[in-house]
Amino acid sequence: MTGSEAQPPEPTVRMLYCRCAFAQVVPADVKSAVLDGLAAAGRGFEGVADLCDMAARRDPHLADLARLAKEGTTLRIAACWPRAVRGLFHLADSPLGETGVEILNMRTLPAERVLAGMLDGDTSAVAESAAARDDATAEQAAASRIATLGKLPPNTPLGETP
Amino acid sequence: MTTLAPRQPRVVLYEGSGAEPFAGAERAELVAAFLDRGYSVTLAHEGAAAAADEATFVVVGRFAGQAPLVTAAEATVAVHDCSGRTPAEVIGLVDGARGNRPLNAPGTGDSWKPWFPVIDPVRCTNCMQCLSFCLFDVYGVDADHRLRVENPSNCKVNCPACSRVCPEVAIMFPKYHAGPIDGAPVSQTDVGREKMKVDISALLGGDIYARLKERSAEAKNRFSRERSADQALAERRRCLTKLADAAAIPREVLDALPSPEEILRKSAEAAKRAAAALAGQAAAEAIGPAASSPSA
Repeated sequence: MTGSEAQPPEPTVRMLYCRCAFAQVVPADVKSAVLDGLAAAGRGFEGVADLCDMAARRDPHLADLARLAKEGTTLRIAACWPRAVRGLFHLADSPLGETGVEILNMRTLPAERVLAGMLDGDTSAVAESAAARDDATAEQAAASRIATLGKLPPNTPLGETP
Repeated sequence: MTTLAPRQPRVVLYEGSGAEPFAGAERAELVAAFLDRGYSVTLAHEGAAAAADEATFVVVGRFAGQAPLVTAAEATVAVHDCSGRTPAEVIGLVDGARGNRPLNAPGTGDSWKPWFPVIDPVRCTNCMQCLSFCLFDVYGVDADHRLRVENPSNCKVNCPACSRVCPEVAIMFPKYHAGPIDGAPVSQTDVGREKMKVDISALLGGDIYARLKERSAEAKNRFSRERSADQALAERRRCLTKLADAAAIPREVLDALPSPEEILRKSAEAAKRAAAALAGQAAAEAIGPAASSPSA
């Protein structure tokens, strides 16, 4: 590389972490490990108790984030399925653009993959976040859920299971 | 219906200029504790003090006795120097600083679990089936006659029934336990699966409204004969069991449904709104090409 080759400036990154605090659909060990990793990284980030709660309120901060992403900031979101996250922003009248947004899915990815996407911009982790579970993973998850259900009191709603 | 404040209160953990950073484990513990209480949290580094928006009510940091004055858009923000304090003490300071600001705190008796339908705008065709199905006014339409989740807090927690009537698999409940309702990618199998579109009429053995009228008449007769509310409730449970199983509707939601007369009234209202929205869409489509045509 020569000195005359001007590199485009690194885009600013904003990181948003959803705790999904009102449900247990995101594995607790994953969301805790992701939060620990973000906190240990020594970088600023935002955490929200629950992105669904924010969207239901049509929190104007979601519009701020969507606007920043459209203006060149890279918005990285650690939450759940990208389709759901985009739907939540849309519901809050703050639709996300096609570019500038990287969504990491804590429902399906291990914490280290989520952190690779959040902290290092690993685009393969972003792509994996939107991919459907393969049959083997789904079967494993179902078996684990059934095993867990056996330990829960009867009539526990499925949404409340880990 | 729950009235939602526009924002959850925000805590800023400040580590920028003039403040010592928190220890790594302590930082994670504090952020987790605040999020689990329902707060939004900004971990602010150098230059990030602008994170103090109108939702921010408190800034905490290790200021070594030199806590700065912070002013947000609408109010002066409480700033606490937490040098030498334990995480439990910092959490106590923040809870105290919140005062009577409303907070939807997870796991507390009066909290609202954010459960409501989320529309996938890429898949939704604005057919309004969900609007005419929902009895709780969750759905509405925007100025362009497009579907909108108008009143999320009206939705019945853990009930995903409307997602089952969507022919396009466009309705998600992000806190549901399985795909594609949870937002997982929609496969061709999902779209083609007849089970995804619950035919409620068939489930109840014919036209649902006719059946409800019939049941209403039967119930009146039975009440006049037996005056037994328990028996009526048992009959209602039996009738709705099939519906609950097929559409994964929690029993408590079905038990809480209004009377058949009220259901009929609300269904008619919802159908009227859906028809109006569809008529509006058709009118807009008819006007659209004419308006854009050079001869128009």
